[in-house]
Amino acid sequence: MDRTKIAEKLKKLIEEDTQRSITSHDEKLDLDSYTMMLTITFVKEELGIELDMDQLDFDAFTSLNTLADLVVQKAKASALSA
Amino acid sequence: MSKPGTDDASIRRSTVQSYSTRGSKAYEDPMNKNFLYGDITVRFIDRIAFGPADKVILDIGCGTGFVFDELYDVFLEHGMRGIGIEPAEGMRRIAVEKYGDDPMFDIVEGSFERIPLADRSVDKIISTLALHWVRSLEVAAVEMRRVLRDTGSLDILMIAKDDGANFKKAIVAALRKHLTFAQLMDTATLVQRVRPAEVKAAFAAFDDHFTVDVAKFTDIVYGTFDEHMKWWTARSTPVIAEVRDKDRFMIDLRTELEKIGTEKGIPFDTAYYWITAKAKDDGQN
Repeated sequence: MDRTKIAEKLKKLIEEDTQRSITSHDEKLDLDSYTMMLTITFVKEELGIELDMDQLDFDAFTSLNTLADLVVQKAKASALSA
Repeated sequence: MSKPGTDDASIRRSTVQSYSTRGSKAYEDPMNKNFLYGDITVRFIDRIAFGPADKVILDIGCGTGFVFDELYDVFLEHGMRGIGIEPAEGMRRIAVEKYGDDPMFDIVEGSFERIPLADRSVDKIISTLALHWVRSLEVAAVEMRRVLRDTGSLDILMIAKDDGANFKKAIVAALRKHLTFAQLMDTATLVQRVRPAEVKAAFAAFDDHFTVDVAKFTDIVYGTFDEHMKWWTARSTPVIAEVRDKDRFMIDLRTELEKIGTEKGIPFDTAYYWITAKAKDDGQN
């Protein structure tokens, strides 16, 4: 799964929910907990990656890149264990 | 994509239970009634218009009977009957203590998704700061439409998506020291977080006979830590219930909220919707 494409998909979702534009994938997102939950749901339903709530922390939601890294990492781990 | 927290179409049991215990007494506190949401509610109630055809008024999520307290004389003057429905037993008990013997009012168990009334039996639906607790706005709207007469009307005060956005950042900063990420995410979906267009879409069941409008209002209300805590603890009991060391949490919360304080006090950036449904052929449109 391509990191940039994932970041773009997440960008679209977060921009729509927060009604603000994100100028770069490194920009600090400052998401509220509802938008974080929306992102987790999106990753599960649209990208097919289930993020483990007990292993997640707020740092993963710092930017689109940190989020995309998390998804890529989780996708790789899932592929290895399959 | 589904919205988070909408897996179950009824209000969470834990929410109802926490309101039944800790929340009930806090709601009756004068500081909660007169500050911020209490004040907003009074202003909303004062602007609701009642016509000669309004005989049966339904207050959904009536809590301790605040709307009936405020509108008692109006009910008397217009010869109206008030029905308050409330899922939280503790809240309902206080409302029954106040109005159980008054033939003008009935207080019964129920919720937005389960209104214990006959089809087309209500002239006006009122609700103040309760609709955001439902798990599905669509289900709630269908049920409200079922009981509302075709010539009726609806006035609902609902928390907006961005209500208290900055204030809540300070709350979350304090909560992070006491709840796990998973617990915090669980509380994030306790309430509906929707935009006006989404509210309007959810009320599609009213399109047959009604015009639905959603007006948004914003304001900044300044207060001391104690003033904010009166309303916040009253309205956040499901969240506070998750915290183990509540004393330590309150100390952390004070620290975080004082960080955003100004010389006017700690600001709360309130945002709310006034949802109205008016019959298309009532001659007022």
